[in-house]
Amino acid sequence: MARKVAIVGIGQTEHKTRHPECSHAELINEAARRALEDAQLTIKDIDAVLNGNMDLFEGHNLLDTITVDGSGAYLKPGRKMNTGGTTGGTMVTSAWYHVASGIYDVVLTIASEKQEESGGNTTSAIITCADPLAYRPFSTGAVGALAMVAARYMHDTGCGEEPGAIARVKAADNALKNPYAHLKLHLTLEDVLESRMLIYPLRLLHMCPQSSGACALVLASEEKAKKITKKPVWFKDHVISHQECFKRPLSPDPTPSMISQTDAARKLYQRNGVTQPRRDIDVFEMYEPAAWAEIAWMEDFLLCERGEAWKLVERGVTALDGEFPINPSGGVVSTNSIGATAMVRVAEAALQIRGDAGAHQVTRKEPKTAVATAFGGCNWTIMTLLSKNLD
Amino acid sequence: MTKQEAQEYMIVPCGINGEMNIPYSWGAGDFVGKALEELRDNGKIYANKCPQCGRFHLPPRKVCGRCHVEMEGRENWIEVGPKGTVLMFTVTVTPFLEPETGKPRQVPYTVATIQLDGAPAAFEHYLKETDPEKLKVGMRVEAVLKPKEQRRGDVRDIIQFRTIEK
Repeated sequence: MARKVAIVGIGQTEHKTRHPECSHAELINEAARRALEDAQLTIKDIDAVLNGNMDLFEGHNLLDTITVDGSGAYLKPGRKMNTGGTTGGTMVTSAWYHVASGIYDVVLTIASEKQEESGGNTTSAIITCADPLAYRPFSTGAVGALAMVAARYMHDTGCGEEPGAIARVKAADNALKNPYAHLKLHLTLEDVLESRMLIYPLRLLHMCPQSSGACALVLASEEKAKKITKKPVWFKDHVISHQECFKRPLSPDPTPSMISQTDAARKLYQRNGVTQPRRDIDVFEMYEPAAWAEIAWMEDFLLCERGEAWKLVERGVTALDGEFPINPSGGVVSTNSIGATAMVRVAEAALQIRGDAGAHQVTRKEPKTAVATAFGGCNWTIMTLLSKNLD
Repeated sequence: MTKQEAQEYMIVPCGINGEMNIPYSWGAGDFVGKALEELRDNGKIYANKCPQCGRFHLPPRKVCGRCHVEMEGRENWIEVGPKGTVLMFTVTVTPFLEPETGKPRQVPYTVATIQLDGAPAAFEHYLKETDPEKLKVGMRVEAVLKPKEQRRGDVRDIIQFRTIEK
């Protein structure tokens, strides 16, 4: 039987275009120290250290060869992982397994990206994820895949360009309230609608930035967590789901949806008595690398009926003060330190449950449950359900 | 971003510029390899079918990801195309560096999901048409192959798909 596990420490660096003041190891260290400080622990209290990033964004295979001094893994059990966009979520769930298994009591997990080191060529690195035999020659990386999501959604619903702009302005408004967010932009709908085209129909302001930054969490067993903090945030459940390939057409069902997102949502809701997700979940931190993805994937995550999401976005349902806030942090379109991004979703969801999100704390109610999602790799999904209460 | 732009972007107190250029050779295996041979030698495109779930795979694959069973052999492959229908398209207008060449592809270019005639299976390729106003979901297209002597058993032996004029 798995032990109960809580988040007892949360830390992240400011996310920026560049962190010229530090090396990657030092960037990791800043997040790790902030998480330890939040938990009022030192590295001596940590039983194991796990860290992750996407190696090709720094052109450094097995980054752990240079980051142990920053992570604190010196003479401790540790490992470095890379599962693409989901890396941060993989780090969280792996740390959770370490503690839930009963083998370790207190685990530090760190996720980072110093994306500036690939000189803005993130897309080139992402293209190398595609099958070199059949799909790499035509891959336009995540931008192209998300342009397909936008094209398909607009085609299927006939909703026009405006909902994408509303979702982007909502994200910008939230990011302005988040001290760690990367892009802090005062945007209007016109700014988004007139921003230059990257890949038709996806515009520059629809797409996430290339950020550098790190995030860290301290996880502890029930017994330890109750001693460490007055505000533990409990892991209630999680689902990881993989689908066949990076490219939708390799799945012979030419459907617009992310099969793994819907599969994960169905399993998570069913197991946890979630019958009306927008009522039963208080905050949703979604890994949405483009404004259109947030809209299309609300439907994949079964948060509403097919064809309904853009109407909810237009009504302001997903805003910070809305009935169902999505990404009060400003989301991935504001901040995308890729390896860290899925952990930032969990960290931000946990801050909301603690009531510690500051200016971007949701206002309608005190959140008791939150869901964080991770996207990436081969269109893989991780969904994590957090709770204020142990049972 | 060009190499020079990338270097200018990297203005830091102290840092070094570098690049990696590592040659690889990716194995196609019996199934994709045979399909690429057919494309090279006979200009034909094939899909195969999972005996368990009935889904079609393009290009043919040995294992069905959903059922985890071995797929039907060469004798049961289905010839598809060269005509097909556009399911969705995007038009790239901002260049990216291609990892295999280190150079940007020339913009604009259209990448489309195309369902080839003959089997309910789709794949991705270039379209000749790059004006979004002239591109439509559901439009009919056909493959344009390189001349036989220039084909080398690569999915790029299909240059692109062109619009079939009514």
